[in-house]
Amino acid sequence: MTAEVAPGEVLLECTDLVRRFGGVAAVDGVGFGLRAGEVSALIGPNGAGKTTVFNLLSGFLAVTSGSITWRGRDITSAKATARAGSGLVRTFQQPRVFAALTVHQNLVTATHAVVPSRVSADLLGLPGARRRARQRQGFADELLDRFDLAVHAEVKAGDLPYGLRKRLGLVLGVAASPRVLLMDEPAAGLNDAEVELLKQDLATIRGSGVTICIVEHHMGLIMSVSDRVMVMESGRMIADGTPAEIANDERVVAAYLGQGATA
Amino acid sequence: MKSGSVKAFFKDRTRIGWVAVVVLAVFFATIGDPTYIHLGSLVAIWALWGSSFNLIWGYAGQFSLAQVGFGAVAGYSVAILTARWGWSFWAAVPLAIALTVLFSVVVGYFSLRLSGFYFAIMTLAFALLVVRVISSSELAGRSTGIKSNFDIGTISLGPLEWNLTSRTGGFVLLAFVLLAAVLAFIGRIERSGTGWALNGLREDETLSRSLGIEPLRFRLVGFMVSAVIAAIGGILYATYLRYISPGFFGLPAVIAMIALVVLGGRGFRFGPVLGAVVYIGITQWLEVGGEWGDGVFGALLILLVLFAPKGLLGIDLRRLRRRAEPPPPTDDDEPVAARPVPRRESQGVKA
Repeated sequence: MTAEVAPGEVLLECTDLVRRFGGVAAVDGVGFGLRAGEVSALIGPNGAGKTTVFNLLSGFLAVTSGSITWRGRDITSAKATARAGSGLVRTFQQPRVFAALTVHQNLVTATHAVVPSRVSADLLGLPGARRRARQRQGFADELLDRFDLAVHAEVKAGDLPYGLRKRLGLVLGVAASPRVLLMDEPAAGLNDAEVELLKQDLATIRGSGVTICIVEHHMGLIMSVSDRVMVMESGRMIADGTPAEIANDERVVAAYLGQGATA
Repeated sequence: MKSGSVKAFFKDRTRIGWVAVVVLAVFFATIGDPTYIHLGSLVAIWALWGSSFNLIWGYAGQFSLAQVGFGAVAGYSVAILTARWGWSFWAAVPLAIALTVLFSVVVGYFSLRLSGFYFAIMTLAFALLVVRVISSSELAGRSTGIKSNFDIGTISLGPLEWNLTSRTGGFVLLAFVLLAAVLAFIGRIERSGTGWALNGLREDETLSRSLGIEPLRFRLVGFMVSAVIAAIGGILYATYLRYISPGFFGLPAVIAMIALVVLGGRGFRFGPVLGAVVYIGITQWLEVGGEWGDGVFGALLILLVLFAPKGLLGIDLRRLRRRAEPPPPTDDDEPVAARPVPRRESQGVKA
């Protein structure tokens, strides 16, 4: 699906994004572009507006002002579902999974964007419906193998330990076949071994041609996986550069990195 | 589906369900005793109504109280078309179902945007509005209703004559055939992308949206299909009683429908069948009449909610057996049980 994207093409771009809650501007004039193949990180102290930016980009919040374009097309007021369907997918800070479904069923459900349901064919039991059901199963099986989840396939997602639930939440995002994957704190709450596993997963996802943007506090992870780091403070972008540039930026060090976040 | 035993277990359950439906159908359709024809008709009709509510609540997670209203719209449409305007039964039925679906789209369009409690209240308001309109309409016979011999007649199947007249074994068979068709149809939805989308929306709407599943679209489809099932139930009910009045479609019917789905097991395809058998069995067969019948049924519901909140079909027999035996040294049934897992509060649902 990503084959048609030229490397370096700006897939997602936002300009002058503003989001106010009451009188407070949680996001106050943020703009950046995400280029195909890039792994970028969005960092900043708590309350800087990072998750709000993700909510605006993914369509879960409406912008107060500003614009968002996806592959040159304006999507500022597009529905979240439409954005997800076109390949702009996000994951959540709290591990969101379909708790009462098994891991395998979770993945089958998440293949919706890849194998869209034709409601009429489903209800009438047309041959196409059966073919798509097989495609879904096949795609889910493939993801189980690719992310080593096969041993947990029949476990209810709500019964998984935290780390695995978090991982499943990430794989659900992958199952939606993203071109750009916005990951909201994928390392939050994970132990060291799980963070190492996450690094491998990120490499796998990137290797399949997905452009990644991560909101994260885990500096070790960010410095090792990112091509580019953007720093927010109080709703504004205060720095944007390579990990090395960011690590030496005085404003960033003052705002954020200085506060013992050198893990 | 990596674990063959789990798959086999669920396959068996489906088979058990089908065997039960066939046994019930044959028993009630051939016994010839009017009492059992009465009971059988009611079991099939309530199982249909329950299936309608089970689809929209158990599968799609929408606590819709409009289902009885859909049954009323369909039943009254047939009654008015046949008794008042002289249509034939078979011509009236498709139009009645079409009208019900149209009505469900209107109700769904306004109510499916609302969440949880507000959705329930909105759909209840529509259901009660239907009863209100019917009770004050001259055409619908006001509160006395319409007395009508819904003349289905007979169908010739080659050399066989299938007598579908109300209060005969043939009618009971018809009711069970329709029930079986609805259950097979729900099974088809269960395995389809539409079914997965409904499951996903029930479990987590935000996550579903992030995966491209459009809530209103799929819920509206689920709502329309559930309205068709309720319509079939409503038409059968009026046909069976040869009579229709607003009293059938009030709050008691709404409550009974919820109760029998909870009893049988929400989200289980055959749950409403079991629920209907138990419900009709207690209130009609045991003739624990009037307030006592409701009382016994109510007590049973309380026990169930306390000890088996997922309903009768939700009782995990393997877990019960395991509890009865001395605990095994290792729990090899569940691969993730190595670490204690904080359980989310019960969802009360299975896929």
